[in-house]
Amino acid sequence: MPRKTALFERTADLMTSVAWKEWAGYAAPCNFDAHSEREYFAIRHSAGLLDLSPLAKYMVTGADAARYLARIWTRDITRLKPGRVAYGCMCDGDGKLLDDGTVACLDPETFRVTSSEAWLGWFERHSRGYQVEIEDCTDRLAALALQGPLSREILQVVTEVDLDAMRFFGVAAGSIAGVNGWISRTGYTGDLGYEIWIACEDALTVYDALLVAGKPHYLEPIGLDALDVARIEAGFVMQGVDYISAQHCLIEARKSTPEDAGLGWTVNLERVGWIGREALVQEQEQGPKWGLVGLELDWAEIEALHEEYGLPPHLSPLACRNAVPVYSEGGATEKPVGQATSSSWSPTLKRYLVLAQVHRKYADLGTRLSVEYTVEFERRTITGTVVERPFFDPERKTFTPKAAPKGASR
Amino acid sequence: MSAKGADSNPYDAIVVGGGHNGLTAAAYLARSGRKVLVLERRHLVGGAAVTEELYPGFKYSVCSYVVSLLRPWIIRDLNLSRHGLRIVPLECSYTPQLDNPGLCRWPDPDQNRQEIRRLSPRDADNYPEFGKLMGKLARFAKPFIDELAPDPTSLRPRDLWQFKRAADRFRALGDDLVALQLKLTTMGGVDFLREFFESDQLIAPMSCSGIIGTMLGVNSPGTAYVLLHHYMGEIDGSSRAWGFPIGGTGAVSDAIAASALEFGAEIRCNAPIANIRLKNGRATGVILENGDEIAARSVVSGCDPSLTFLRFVGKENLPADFAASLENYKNRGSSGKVNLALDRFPEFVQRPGIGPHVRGDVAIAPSTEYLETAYDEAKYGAFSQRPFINVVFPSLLDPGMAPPGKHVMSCFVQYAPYDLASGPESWPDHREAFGDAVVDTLAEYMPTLKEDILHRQVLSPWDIEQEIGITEGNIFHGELGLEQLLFQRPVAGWARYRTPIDGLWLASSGAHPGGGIMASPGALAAKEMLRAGAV
Amino acid sequence: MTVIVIGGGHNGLVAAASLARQGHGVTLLEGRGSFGGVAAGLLHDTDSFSPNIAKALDLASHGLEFTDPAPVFVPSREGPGLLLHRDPVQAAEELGTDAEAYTNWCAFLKRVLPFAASQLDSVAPDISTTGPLLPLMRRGLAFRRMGKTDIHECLRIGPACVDDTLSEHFQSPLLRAALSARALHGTWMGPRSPSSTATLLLGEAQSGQEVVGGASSLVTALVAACENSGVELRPSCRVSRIQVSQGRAKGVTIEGGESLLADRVLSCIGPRRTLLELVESEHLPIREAGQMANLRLRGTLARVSLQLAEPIDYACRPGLRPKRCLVAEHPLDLERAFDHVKHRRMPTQLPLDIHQTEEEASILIRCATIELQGGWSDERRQELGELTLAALEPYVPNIRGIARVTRILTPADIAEEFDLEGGHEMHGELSLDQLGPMRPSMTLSRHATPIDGLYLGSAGIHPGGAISGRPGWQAAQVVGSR
Repeated sequence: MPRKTALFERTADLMTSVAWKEWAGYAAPCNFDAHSEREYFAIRHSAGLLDLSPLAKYMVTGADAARYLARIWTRDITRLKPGRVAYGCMCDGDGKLLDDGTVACLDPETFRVTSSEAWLGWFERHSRGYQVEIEDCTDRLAALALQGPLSREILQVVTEVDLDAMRFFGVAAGSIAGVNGWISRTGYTGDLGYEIWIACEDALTVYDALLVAGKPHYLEPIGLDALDVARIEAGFVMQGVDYISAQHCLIEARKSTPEDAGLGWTVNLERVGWIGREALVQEQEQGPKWGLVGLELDWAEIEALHEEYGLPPHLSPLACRNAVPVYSEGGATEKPVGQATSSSWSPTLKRYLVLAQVHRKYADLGTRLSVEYTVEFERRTITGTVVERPFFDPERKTFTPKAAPKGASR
Repeated sequence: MSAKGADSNPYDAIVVGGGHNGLTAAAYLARSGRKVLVLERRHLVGGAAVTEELYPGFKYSVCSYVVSLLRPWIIRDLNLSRHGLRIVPLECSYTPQLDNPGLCRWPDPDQNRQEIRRLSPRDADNYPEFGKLMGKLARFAKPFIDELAPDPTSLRPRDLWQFKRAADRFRALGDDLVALQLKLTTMGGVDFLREFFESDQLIAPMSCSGIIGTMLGVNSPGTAYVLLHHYMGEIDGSSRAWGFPIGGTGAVSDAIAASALEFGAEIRCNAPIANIRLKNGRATGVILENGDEIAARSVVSGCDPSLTFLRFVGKENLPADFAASLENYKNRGSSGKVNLALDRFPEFVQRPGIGPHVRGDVAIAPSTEYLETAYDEAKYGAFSQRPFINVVFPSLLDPGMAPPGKHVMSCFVQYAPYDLASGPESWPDHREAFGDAVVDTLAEYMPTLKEDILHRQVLSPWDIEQEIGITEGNIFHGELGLEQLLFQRPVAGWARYRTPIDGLWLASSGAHPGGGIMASPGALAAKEMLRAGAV
Repeated sequence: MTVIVIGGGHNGLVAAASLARQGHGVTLLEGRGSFGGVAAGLLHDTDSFSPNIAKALDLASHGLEFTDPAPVFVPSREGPGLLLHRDPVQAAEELGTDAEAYTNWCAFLKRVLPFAASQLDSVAPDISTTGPLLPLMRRGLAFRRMGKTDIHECLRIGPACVDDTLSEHFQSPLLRAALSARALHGTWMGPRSPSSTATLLLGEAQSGQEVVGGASSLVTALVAACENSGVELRPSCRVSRIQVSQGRAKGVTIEGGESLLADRVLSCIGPRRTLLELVESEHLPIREAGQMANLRLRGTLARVSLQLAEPIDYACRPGLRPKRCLVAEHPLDLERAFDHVKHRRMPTQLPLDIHQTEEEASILIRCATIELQGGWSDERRQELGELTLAALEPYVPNIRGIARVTRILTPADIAEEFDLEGGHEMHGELSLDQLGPMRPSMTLSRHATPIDGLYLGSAGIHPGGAISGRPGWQAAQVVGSR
């Protein structure tokens, strides 16, 4: 029975569809209109505004807050400076992935942690011995994502924070539409974008102000469907889709290490003292088993396959989260070598993109694999080639107009 | 192979006691072509699983009131659905509080989370994790309720093999779950739950499952393992373990009886037996109270072990060590039952309305302190003034249980010790005071209750012993303590339904795997008899 | 090899002496001003001290002598009370109708306890799922050799409550009270708690002769043994950190900042404090951190000391003046006392465990919970002293005339004075899930820890016990052998 977020009243009003889905216990719009294409194109060409409030959010404060977060997070939070955000993940004692998210350093003793689902139980279990307080602020803190090439211009209208100077993965406090909050230059779309953190009671004010400020720029309220396409283009994995949290796995085989899920880059095995490290060091000695790859399906094959049935290729505007088996090239009669967990047609790239977890030896760039593809109830395969991730990576994502010149101190 | 001997035994087996286990055994034996007679002392079958209309228009599930873990394979084997069995799941477990809305535990994880968050956000996070761990342990435990109990002390190849299989599965759990399983089997419910949760208002109702039918408190070691019961349902392929049978629990017995009859069994009510007939140390039939003798190749008892052996067989006919063990067998009835016919629905003041929160079971278990205090009183021989009560409103789940707009309320009450300080036979003097304590307790939560009561039935464990026949009124035919479980139920080495008396088999809840309306003991006993060629 | 032993209680002393005799350089650090821990001024029973250890450390050469334990007197308000000898022949006269049952019971114990005792004198079995099966099967077979009847009996009574078990055998409530009281030492249980028979058997398996001169003589002998074998004894030396680097213990930091390095560190203080307080969280795997966080150690022990103008003389048996006395006439008296513990209340009717000499009596109260609602205060402390005298008065009418309360230690005082977490004299409750290979947890019961070079050897580790010395001894063997 999903609950309403602080913005429910407005988003419900704006929706012409009745397309809600449950997200972490809250009702969240899938799309505002009959389809999500307009919302998708807003993300890539103007800007989209998403209610992020269901994201689990925690305030971690205290003298040992950084040391504590460095223990439960894969990133070394003790080195995170105020005003910076770190993306990373969390492992259990066996080095298996629990969740991923961001840690924002608001001041040396105050951090805001976000994750896909609730972890207060886990956080508190491992806080013994640290001078730290953990508050679950999911219910009191609303969050908005403003994403797209024009997001900086739109947001600048309502805030005094100098956005031209805010670097990628920066965070700053300031007034937004007259209310106090935080802005971080983070997002889940792989585009230029910001996330805005404000008290629930202020959420409508800010949301409305942004809609007004964005009107001339064709800002669109967006839902989860458009976001899903964008995040696949950006090559981002999603907990519960591209990997299953070890907490939810009933069998060992379903669990993933950060490496298995393409998050190996967030892990530094040299650093000691974080949960899961010892197991991952052992794992590394044996060599990782899986890898997350981006695949591009051969479009000509898709067309040809449909042609066999006398059909034009049918493309859903929605991303697909139904996992399908991946075989070695031409090996469809053998055991699968992995599974494709997310896939989507990219309207920008005009390519069919797939995120898949495959055996390590099939994870090298250029490897050709066969991905299950169903036409007319028949299971066939299409060749997919391992390509670079992110699939889509515009310069504007990280470009900062007033960035300090190289070599200058931060 | 219903070979009839020279003395022309008319029956392959006589089942003594037409409770659900006796009926199940009969049905399985008849299903295999054996000629079976069920003898029931009362005017209706069902034993403690009976529905009776004690007040016009109002049907009570007199004793047993919900179904948990009725084995799905038995439902399939005996075609029970075709014989009218319908079980609706309980929708919610509601624990009211006097000063706040209390806690509802729902089948939906998100709904649960919101409820528990009010008490403790941390517990809300831990609750699903706890469920997952319990689910894994339940998977390990499941074969134990569907198979013969492995005997770790036996060196027979079959037993060693079975023990090895259990040990292998145990080790396959991995270290963390092995440690958890060991803790679960030995710890007190409250201590165990405190490793996961901090809110007493959550721990209290969860810990109750461990004390039901025992003379133990929620802090007593060994009460944690029953927590698994609640997670067994999931591995049976259904979503919930607890359900209410349409027509009351008597409907379960009726369906099994109908199945047995269809397979050709014969059922005779109003046929109390005096003794199990022995010849050269072998059971050869039964002697009825009216003096009639009925011969059979085997006798199967659906009665509790104490009644079966100490009364129907007689101590003098038992091997001395077996008799000694039986005398130390703990029955210790600890619970009573109050059934109410109500003029209207008595709403809970802190959560008014007739919503889904009352379409499940309601536990009066506001705190662990409350539960433990209730136990203390019983320990010294008094019924609890403020008892643990598990309430179900059958009329909300099955409108046929009461006239339109009226309701029946079934209250399982603990503690009501069989052994009152003034002796069990003094229960008639205390029965109504006990009923008053129950109603007074409930009325604190449901202020209109007292004026809504049209009829009240109070059953103490002594009454249950008198009416249903179960020794000391123990609903499980003997405490479900560690020392009376698995290969030790009822007596070490005699957990496989065989008894020291040749030709006499035990198929009741006093045999492995024990109580609740599971029907496992009946079915497993019948299968073992057939396997051994005893019938 | 150099070893630092943390904690100079009896287990620390045993371990230090043993390691030194093995030829290692041992430094023993004790936070308090003197050695002996709970053996120096808290507990008085020495009959669980292992004679094998006394022999191996040659404690006799340091003046240690053993003698048969003194009988325990259980006074009664109505009859003559019961003077209970351990030995059934000596006990027979007092026991009357229970004499035969007691003889049978002792015979049963004699048959089944050697197996238990052999388990107590060895390192806990490895029951991890990847551990070797053969040693487990060997232990299983050793158990099997007890014979089917006794095995069945052990498995039947082990999980049962001690009151049920003893009621099956004995009539006399005094006898049942005396035997069940012992089963409750170090537990959080009453005689009606299931599994208290198991702790009864555990206690019986450890008991033997007692030390002449009591616990203080034992401490004196152990300290002498340490000095003699070259242990560096450092009292008033409280460890604030165990230094760990790259997953390996390097030494310790002492309060005040001094750093001591060694090849091995053996902690003979509580496992929970060792791992959760002395080791930085980063170095402890979460599995063990979780296990320790869940360890239960709710102390229930208090002690009242009396100065006696003349020995306590019980009205029901004038002139007896027993050294050992248990005030509890019925197992249910013990149960009622436990009810108070359970509900975190001040106890009312106190069962007393009394040890008296000519001028003094030391009284242990095992139903005072450290978790007392409202906490322990001066008033509560005085109340405890008053309750003790009140509990004695029905049996010793002149008690207030002959006795003066000199010292009252509440559980909170014990926690403070003896440096015991939770005020628990065994660093962890005795309960089935915290015994044997589960004491203090499945991965820590074999003395080694996930931190290389750090070992555990207090009563919080298998086989636990009061003043037994076994955990320290076995830890020393493990440390020395690696």
